Amino acid sequence: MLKQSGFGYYVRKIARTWKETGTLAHIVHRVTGILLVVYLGVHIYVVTQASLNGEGYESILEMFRDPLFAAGELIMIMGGLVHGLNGIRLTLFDMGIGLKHQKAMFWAFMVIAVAVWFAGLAIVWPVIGGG
Amino acid sequence: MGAPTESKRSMWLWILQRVSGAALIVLLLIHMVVLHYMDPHAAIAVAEVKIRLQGLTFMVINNLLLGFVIFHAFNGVRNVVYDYTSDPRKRAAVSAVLVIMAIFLFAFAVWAFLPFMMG
Repeated sequence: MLKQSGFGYYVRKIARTWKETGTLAHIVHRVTGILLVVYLGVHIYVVTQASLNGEGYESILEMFRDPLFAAGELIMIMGGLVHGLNGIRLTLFDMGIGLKHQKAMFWAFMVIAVAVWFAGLAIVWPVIGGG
Repeated sequence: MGAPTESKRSMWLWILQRVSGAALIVLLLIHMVVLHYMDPHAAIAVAEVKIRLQGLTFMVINNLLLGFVIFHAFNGVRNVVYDYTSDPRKRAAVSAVLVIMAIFLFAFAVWAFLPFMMG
């Protein structure tokens, strides 16, 4: 009999159900969560350089003006929005709210994420687009 | 009563993951709006980081954000690892490493910004 827990069980379960909205939401939450943890480490390192090593910090900021980094940061903002909004959705379910509309709520929250992302992009566009 | 049981601890961590997540929605919104969207042209120079950290309001907000985000991130990693292994010894070892890493990261960031916070 197959074990009902552990890495193999988890992977098999995901592989079997990935087309379902609930599993998709789970994968999206997990992938964005891991990306955000990595980003958090880098972010704390970079920002603390402002205090520990002023010149180093300024040179890191210079590096961030590269369009590649701007694109990376925009991806992280999308990751944060998606993770945060799906997190609100999960918390609502924990409180018994919206349980009958789990799938619709996922897509509705993703639409909100994209809308907020574009609003944010419009604000910073003169800086990252126009220099 | 002895040490909290594994399931009791897990329940508290689960609640705290929700609480910290909810707090992060508010704190990150403040963080992003104040730092990046109110004046997108402002470069985040050393002097500006310093000034921003000196006000009491921002000192409190930033340290709360730091604490909540580190808890949420490391407890999130714990949740991921718990999905992948059911071996109690592996789980305990990973939890211990994550607790140490989280405390170190929080202490490092507070230590690094102390000169700024103290003026």
